[in-house]
Amino acid sequence: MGKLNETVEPRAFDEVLSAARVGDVTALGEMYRFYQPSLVRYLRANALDAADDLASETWLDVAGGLDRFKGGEPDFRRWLFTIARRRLLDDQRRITRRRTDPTDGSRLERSDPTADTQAEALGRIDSAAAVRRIMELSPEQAEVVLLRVVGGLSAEDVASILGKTPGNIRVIQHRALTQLARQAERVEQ
Amino acid sequence: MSDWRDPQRDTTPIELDLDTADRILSGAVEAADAPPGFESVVQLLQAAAIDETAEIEGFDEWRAAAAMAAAMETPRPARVAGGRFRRRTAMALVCTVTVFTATAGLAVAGALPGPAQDVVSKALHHVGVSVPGSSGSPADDPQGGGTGNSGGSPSGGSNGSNGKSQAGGGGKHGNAGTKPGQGKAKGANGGAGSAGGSGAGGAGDGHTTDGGGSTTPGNGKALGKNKTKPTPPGAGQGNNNGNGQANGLGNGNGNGQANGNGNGTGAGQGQGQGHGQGQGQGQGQGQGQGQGQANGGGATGGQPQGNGNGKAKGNGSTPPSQPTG
Repeated sequence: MGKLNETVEPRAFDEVLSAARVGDVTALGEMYRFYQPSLVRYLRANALDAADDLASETWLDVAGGLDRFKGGEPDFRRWLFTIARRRLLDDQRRITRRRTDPTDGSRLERSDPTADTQAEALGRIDSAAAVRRIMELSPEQAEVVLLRVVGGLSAEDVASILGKTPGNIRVIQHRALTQLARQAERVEQ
Repeated sequence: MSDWRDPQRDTTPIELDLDTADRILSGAVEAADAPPGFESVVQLLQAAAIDETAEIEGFDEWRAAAAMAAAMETPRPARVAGGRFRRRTAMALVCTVTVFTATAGLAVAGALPGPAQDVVSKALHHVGVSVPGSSGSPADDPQGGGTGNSGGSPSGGSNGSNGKSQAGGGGKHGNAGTKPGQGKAKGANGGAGSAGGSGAGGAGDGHTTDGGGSTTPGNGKALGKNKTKPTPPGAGQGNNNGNGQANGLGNGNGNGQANGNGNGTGAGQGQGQGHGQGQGQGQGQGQGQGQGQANGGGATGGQPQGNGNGKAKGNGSTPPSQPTG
């Protein structure tokens, strides 16, 4: 899981950010390349079909507010996922208003729990399946775990994004891991 | 997710402290080092953290970066709205100034319709601009205008019924009504000294100075700088000390104020000289002789008349009033 902790070198990030602020396409592309994968995975876990569109909207929002952004790399990551979460909530509200949208058949197929369980029992669970397992937690627990694991955010950052205290986040993530462990026990049995 | 209603649910407590849970989620704990029962959880989280998405192609990256750069160059809607707002405000301001200027110009030229002319005249009068009213008089103001000047005839431009009038600009004195003045006189020179027989409502003084007429003190207030001393009730002798002013454009109901610089002579013996505007009203017995000119409002002569309600309008000189007392 070392990739979670992988961040841009602070000095390099500052340089990239400075260049990106003035509209340097290379710097903007560098930031996009670095953060886009985790951003898309986070969005895809919550909104499978709209993840790419939501990611694009998130980046446009980032571009619009980049001149006002202040802080380092952890701050930028927190800011990025804060925007992404807002776009996600907007999308979920939109979906709620349009409940007539048909469910994607491929999504139903992918959400077959049996396949995940079998794969997990064999120790061959892939990333998508793992995310689906996480999404079986309560919405609050799933969001915390996703932001921490996929987004690479600290408990403090997650607390800031979700509007909770760090202590509250620690309790939620503890319960989430306990829940996942119990699920794993059931699978093994 | 296990169902808590499931009777087969394993309720075995799994030991995990908050810090360890935090370290697991931070990726600092490998599966082999995980607490018992959490190995599979660590593996699951590692799998979730793995980026299995296809590598971002250079074109996608360039396209996204170009879109971001374009978004940074595009003015924000709020700024656009602000610009529109400023432009609209400026346009509204220009229109307002234009309309105001045109209206004022027409008013000065006396070209507005009667009511409008009166309204504008009054409005501009408050800011010190003299614009003729619909009748041609400057500031046809029942409270007296500020145009009382060196008018000739003692005049009682007043507004007895309203109890308010303003003294104008400076006659020596004027005749006023026969009744005690109830008005307020505002003027540079205070109240009007009344002369003569007509018991003048000494609006400026707050006292009527009576000639041969009423000796009742007026009730008016003089707000002028120089107040005229109350004229003692006279028996037909006017007092020439009046410095009161009033505008001759008021209505007088016998409570008028003396206008102008006139001298009124009461009881036929007084003489008034001065310049004034307005109307002397009252039931004086005296006569005033006014010399002067009425500005603005055409003043009636120094003939005191009782309880008059007229307005003094027009421009013209006031003929010297003749003693009648």
